Amino acid sequence: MWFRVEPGRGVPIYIQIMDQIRRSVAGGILAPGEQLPSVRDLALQLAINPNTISKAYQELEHEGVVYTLRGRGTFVSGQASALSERDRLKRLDESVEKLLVEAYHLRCTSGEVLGAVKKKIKEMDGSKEGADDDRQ
Amino acid sequence: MVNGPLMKLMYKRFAWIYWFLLAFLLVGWGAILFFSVDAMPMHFEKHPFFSMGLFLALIWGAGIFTREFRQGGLMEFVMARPVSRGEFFNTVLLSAVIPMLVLMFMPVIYVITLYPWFDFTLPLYRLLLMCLIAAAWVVVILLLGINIGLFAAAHSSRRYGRAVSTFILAMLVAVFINMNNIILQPGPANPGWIALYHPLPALAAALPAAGLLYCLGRRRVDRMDI
Amino acid sequence: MMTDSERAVLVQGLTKQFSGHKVLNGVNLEVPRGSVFALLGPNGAGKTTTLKIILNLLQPTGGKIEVLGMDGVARSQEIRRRVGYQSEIQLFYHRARVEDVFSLCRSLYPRWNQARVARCCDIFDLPARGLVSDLSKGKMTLLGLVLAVGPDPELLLLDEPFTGLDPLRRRQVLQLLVEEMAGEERTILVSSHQIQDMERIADRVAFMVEGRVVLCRPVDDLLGAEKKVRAAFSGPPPEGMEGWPGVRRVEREGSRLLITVSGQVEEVIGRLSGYDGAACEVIDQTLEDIFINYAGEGLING
Repeated sequence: MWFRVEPGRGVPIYIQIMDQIRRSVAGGILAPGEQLPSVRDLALQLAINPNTISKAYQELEHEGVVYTLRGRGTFVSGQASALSERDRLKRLDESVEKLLVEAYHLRCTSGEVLGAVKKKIKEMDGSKEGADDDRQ
Repeated sequence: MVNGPLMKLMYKRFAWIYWFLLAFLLVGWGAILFFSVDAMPMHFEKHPFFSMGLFLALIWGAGIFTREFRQGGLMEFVMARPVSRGEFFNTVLLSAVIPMLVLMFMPVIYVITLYPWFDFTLPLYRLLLMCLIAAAWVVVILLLGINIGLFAAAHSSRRYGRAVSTFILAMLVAVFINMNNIILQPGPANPGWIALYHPLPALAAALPAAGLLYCLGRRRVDRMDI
Repeated sequence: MMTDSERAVLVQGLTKQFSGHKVLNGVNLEVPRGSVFALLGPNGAGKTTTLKIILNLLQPTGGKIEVLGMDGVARSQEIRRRVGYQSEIQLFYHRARVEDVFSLCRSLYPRWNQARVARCCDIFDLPARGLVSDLSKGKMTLLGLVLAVGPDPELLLLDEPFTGLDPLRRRQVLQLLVEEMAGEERTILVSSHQIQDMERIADRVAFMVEGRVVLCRPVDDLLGAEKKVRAAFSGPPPEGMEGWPGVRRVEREGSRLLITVSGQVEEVIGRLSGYDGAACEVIDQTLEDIFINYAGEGLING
């Protein structure tokens, strides 16, 4: 599992890690029940503060993306995100707004935007199936 | 009071001085044996190494904390470790005092090793006392040099500190040069003869002088910025 | 705020005057135990002076210092038994030898982790013998670091630990520090110009400018709270935005405004969206950007 951390981006590192884990889970690269690297190992590998990684893991556990077994490690959870319905849609809304502001600055039409979204969904579904195939 | 490992390091740093003293000793033996004159023994009464020791103690003392330790960075390195300022001062002082003592007691070494071949007019115990007085005063001058050096270092940001210390050192060197002449002449007013005829007061006067200068130097090192 | 046992270092109202020139003007710092604390600031801000005062190499002119629960001046020798220090410029004595420096250091401390030191020398390719002055600048920095880490210190004080190091060595140093963190309640206080490397490992950061701490916050809080908002308006832009809570500065970028916001980003955006045709974009600020924003300004509350 290869993570990448960019300190010069202005985004807190723990959020970068959380984003990468969430993306991997969504993309099927991390399967439910799979173990994440230990805080210590990941900290050493990336040369970042172990507290940052703990924080990322804790936040993800709070969201229900992962769960921690004391003394064993942190694992990807089986069920869908535990966020309430309202939170889910609120966060989706925020991401969509970000996307649309970007599109506005790039002078894209709404047709182009929708097309790009559809294309991406198709790609990710495809890779998810592919990842499942690899696992079998 | 004195830091063991640091003392070892100081010994290594000042090893060259001990080699120098050894060479000096050997040259002295050679000179005495080959060019011996009956009048030779009398010189030990005047303690020929004393004037040399005074110069050395003063100049070396003035440079010891500034040149060797502050500029070199040893002081910062050591004081960042668990060594107290007092320990540092005592260790450096002791490592400078020991070679001085060896130099001051050299006449005793000569007399003890050469007595079968020469007639020494001064009894050994008197010679020992002379060396002790010489050693005590050399330590006083060493401490004086150290204080002058520390004073200059504290004010090195202003020219005034350097100028004052250079002036004091020059004055003292001039005094010592003159004393050198005086020592060779007998007379109640000159220090060499005072030591010979009134040894105990000469020794007793050195102790408070050394004590005062030690306290001053110690205080300065305790409070200085490294 | 914190109790004695939770704090590695406490500095209160520290001032330092060097014959006529005031280097520290009332420094206040609280370094929690077990954290990595980054001290950032331009040259001459007083970072090295502060570190040296913590070790009692320099005497404070005023103020209070407490290290590991002990008075920084009175019990300095005891403190230094448990503190490792890497100075910015590695000065040893003239013609010092590497093996002598190591053996001296080792014998001065009650605790010394020789296995660790040997491993570090191996990783960093440090020679075991030879003159110190023969080492390259980078190797000297690494030597200083190994000597600081050797006594298994509870508190590690590092002054510019990345001087003269190439990216590989910098990464190795960061990994060494991360390893140190895994130890029981180790605290690391680092002063460095390498802001990106600091961002990787620091929990808290303090900016020092002209002898004062202008900012002291957890890194993640800082990155989350400090943003720039680029706003475009189809109508006239709002007036008096400088007075809005959270807004620090407003600059004009052509037809748009660039607003520097410190905390309350949501509220500011909310207010802006009330205006005609406002389109806002939030720009993340790197630690470097934030530092530059604050470097020219005075004291603010953190």
